[in-house]
Amino acid sequence: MSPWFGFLKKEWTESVKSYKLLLTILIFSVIGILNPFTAKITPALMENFMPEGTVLNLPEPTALDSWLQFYKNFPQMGLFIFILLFSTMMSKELEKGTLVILLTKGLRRSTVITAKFAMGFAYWTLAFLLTFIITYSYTAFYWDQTIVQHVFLAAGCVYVFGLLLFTITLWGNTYFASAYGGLLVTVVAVITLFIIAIFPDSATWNPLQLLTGPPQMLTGDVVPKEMLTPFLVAMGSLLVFLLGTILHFNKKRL
Amino acid sequence: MNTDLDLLMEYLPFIIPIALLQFGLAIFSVIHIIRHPHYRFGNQVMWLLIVLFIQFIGPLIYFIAGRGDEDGHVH
Amino acid sequence: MVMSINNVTKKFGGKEVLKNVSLTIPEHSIFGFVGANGAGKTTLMKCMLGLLPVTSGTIIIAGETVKFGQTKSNAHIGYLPDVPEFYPYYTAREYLELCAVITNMQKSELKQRIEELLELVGLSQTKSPIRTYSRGMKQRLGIAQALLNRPKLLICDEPTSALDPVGRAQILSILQAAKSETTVFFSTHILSDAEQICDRVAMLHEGTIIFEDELAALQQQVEHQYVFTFTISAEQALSQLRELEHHMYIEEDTLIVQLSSESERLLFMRELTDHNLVIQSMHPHTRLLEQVVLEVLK
Repeated sequence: MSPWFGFLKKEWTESVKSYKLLLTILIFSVIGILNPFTAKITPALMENFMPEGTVLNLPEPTALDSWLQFYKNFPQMGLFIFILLFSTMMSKELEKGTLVILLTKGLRRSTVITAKFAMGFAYWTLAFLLTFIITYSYTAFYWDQTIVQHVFLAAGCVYVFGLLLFTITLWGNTYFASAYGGLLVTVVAVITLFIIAIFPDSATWNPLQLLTGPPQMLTGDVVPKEMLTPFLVAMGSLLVFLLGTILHFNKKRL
Repeated sequence: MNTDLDLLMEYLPFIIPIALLQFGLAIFSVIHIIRHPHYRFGNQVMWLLIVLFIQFIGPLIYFIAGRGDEDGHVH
Repeated sequence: MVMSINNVTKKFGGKEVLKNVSLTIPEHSIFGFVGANGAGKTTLMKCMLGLLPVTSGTIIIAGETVKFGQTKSNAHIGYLPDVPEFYPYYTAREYLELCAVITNMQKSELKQRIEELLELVGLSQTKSPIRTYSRGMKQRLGIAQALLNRPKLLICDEPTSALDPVGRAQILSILQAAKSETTVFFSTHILSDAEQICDRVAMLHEGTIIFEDELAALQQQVEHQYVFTFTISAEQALSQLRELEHHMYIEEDTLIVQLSSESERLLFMRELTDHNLVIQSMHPHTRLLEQVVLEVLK
């Protein structure tokens, strides 16, 4: 086993022992079930809550409603919980000094960052696939999915955006060597993206489009081509933040 | 009555897995709280109540914020 | 020379913590690095490991210049921090396996080496995870991981300070045993620890090396002085021997006498018999490291 895989294995063991695997599987399965469930039950609930005698003509829920729930819950609750769970990857080690021994044994500093990034990447993929597959299966079972367009592409956009946010968190977490540092940087980054989005012209490149665009993609109001620039900007920023983390950590005082 | 049952049957594919996950998570959390009686803050009774009565969010808060450090002084 | 430190200066802000420090460590020796808390010992060690940048000067370990950050020289080093921190969910064996993989150890060698080290530090029977370990057990595991890849230089930062007498003796004997396969450089503020196992000693005081020599040379016996104890107290003996011409003084309830030649010694013995003084012990006067230190600091 190479040092890189050795350290990755340690990251894996750590995530299992600190219940991250369990929580990820549980939370993202639940979100996956809740999406179609909420879509299906909303009209029934509305009828119950309305004063008697009111005639409601609620349309029957469709596959679109289920997917709209997905784009509401997964990027908000899901991504938030994910960032929270993985926001202490570096700070915990730096605060306790557990890396000192491994680094003085000749472990490459870049290995630490890339292995941690890979582990976060794997977990985000697991989280995404769980929610996506479960929502997809339920939606396919209850409704006709032919009415929604670009199901996979749209979901992929949100997935990429989550990856970008995770990388930003990793950078903040390494740079400030504290759990709050990483979260703060992420919050500032998201707020910045929202401020940029105030200017209508920015929609052509703002990575936030990856979050706000997909629901419109489903109805065909946004074509996949419009997502290309935001996607490239997101990937570019992701690489910049990952490289920045590695370069910063290479010269970090421990 | 009949429609209620129909309604229940219709939602069963949702309710069963959610209930299972919820129940499993609650049980798992309770066992963990009892077997690791060290918390970053709060006490056992408080965490048991949180985990049992706040669905999903309760166990989540416990495992992220309330669970004692792995390094916790076991002795 | 396994390591040479050349004119190293380290500043924290405007404060000079290390001032033009130079030091060389010969191979297969135990090098004691003594100094009070806050003298700059840990700072120098962190510079040696590339964990801190030096302000000026160079450090060369096994022919490799130490660079701040990612440094190749670390491959030749085993390091035991003053408070070693491990992953609490691993057992000692699992942790050493991780360390072995990181140092690219061959699979065929790995198992046997780990077993050997666990035996050496007395942890081979322990099956529980590291989070249940006592301070002394962590320190011993720390030495095991430091020795794992047969480093050319073993650096230990205050390995004995926080331990009880039993734990301290264990650590010292492990370090002594390690000497056969590596060079040991360890810092301590407990002089008696350094005295027990070191070949060479250097002392760091306020950022400068104030002396550096072989322990034997430092401890050389004070010429022609002998230490006596009697069945009666040293003071009583001194009062009885007052009329003699030898240079005599009392130190810690022993009588120290200057006896420059064989005949003088014989004569003194005779005097003792004449005064009916019964000797309990007699040995040449040697200086303890602590006295050397105190003298230098004066």
